[in-house]
Amino acid sequence: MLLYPEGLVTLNATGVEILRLCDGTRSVADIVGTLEQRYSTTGLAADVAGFLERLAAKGLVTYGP
Amino acid sequence: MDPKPLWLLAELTYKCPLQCPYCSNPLDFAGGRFKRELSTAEWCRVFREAKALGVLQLGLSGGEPTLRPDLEELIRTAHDAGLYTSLITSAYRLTKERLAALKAAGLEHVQISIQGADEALSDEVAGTASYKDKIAAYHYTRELGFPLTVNVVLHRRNLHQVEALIRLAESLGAERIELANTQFYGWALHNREALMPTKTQLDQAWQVVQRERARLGTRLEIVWVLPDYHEQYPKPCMGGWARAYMTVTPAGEVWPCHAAGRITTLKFENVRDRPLEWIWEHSDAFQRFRGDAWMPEPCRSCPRKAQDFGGCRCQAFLVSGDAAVTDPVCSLSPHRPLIDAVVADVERAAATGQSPDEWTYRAAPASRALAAKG
Repeated sequence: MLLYPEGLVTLNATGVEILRLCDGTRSVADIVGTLEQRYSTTGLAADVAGFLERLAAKGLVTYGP
Repeated sequence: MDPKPLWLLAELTYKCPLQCPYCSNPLDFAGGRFKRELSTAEWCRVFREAKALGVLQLGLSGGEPTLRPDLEELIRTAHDAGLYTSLITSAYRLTKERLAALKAAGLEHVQISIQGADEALSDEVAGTASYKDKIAAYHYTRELGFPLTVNVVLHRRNLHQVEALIRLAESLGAERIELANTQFYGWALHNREALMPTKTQLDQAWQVVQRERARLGTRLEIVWVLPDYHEQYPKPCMGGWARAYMTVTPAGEVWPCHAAGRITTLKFENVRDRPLEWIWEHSDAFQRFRGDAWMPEPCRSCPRKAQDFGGCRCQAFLVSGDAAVTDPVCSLSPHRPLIDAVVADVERAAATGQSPDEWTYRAAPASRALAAKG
């Protein structure tokens, strides 16, 4: 659960994992790479980008290109 | 199963240095009903009970909440209990040191009102010279790293400043600006003739909001609270009666919203007499309009009832005298002519240049005088 001014979002386990990797130094590509390595898979870029975009639209995360 | 509350609004005191004529506090805020304020220990118990009941968001409001010398302790307790805390303040005489102390106690979000985009109008509406303190406090929130919401209540005298208000919030780097068209309860209802805008004013302001939203994107969230007298359907008030929200007043009465205390046909309980959970689940005030079994026509058979919950019970009571009828702003309500008449009066007065601009400032002497008059 993420609480913010006048609202809240409930995160699933994947969301929590992505957010834990948002540490202010990793890039989006780093986060995708870390998760793909962790689960020995590929093709997570679109899911991660979609998740971060939804949070960014609420002003809950900011990130560069 | 009963729904669980997510939000608690704690009205810590009805004392306030500002005197805004649109205040949503009760007209009789200075009377005996609200006099014996809850102690520090009582509020702390309320916050812990609220968290146990499911509440996650706590608004600390008033009156002016910073007048409570124990605010730091209240915030620390709420924060430690796991509540997300928002301070809703006028920022009058609020120092950077106090804000820093509140942050150290765990305060997470600050909302600071402003009454106009420039000093002259803001101070005139507030009835108290406070603009300079507000601007200073906005900067303190930036320096201390708080998320900031700029709150503005809109009405006939300041709607023309919507663009300047948005630009002000933008220049401050605020995260949100809440442009709340006056809802007519409490002092705002008493001052309705002087506050109600014209349709033209509202249309112009709405165009500005749409343009500015497109320009600003996610940089600044612009919240626009609808002027419901000018809508076709009622607002989904509080997301439905007793579904997600409760207000605790300064002396401990618990209301389903911050205006509900005016409904004389409901019985309200007090946190001094009952646990919050019991009040939420069993009290008359919370049970009466929960769900949709209470609904009369045209709500009962209306497909919109799951969307707007029949609108606002307080407005139904204040306009029609019966809290159990469809919100009179609904175009399907038999009471809608009462709303249309008010709107028409405002348009007629504006067209002939005779709009009344006299309002009663929200202040203790006026409150006592109005209460004496009944």
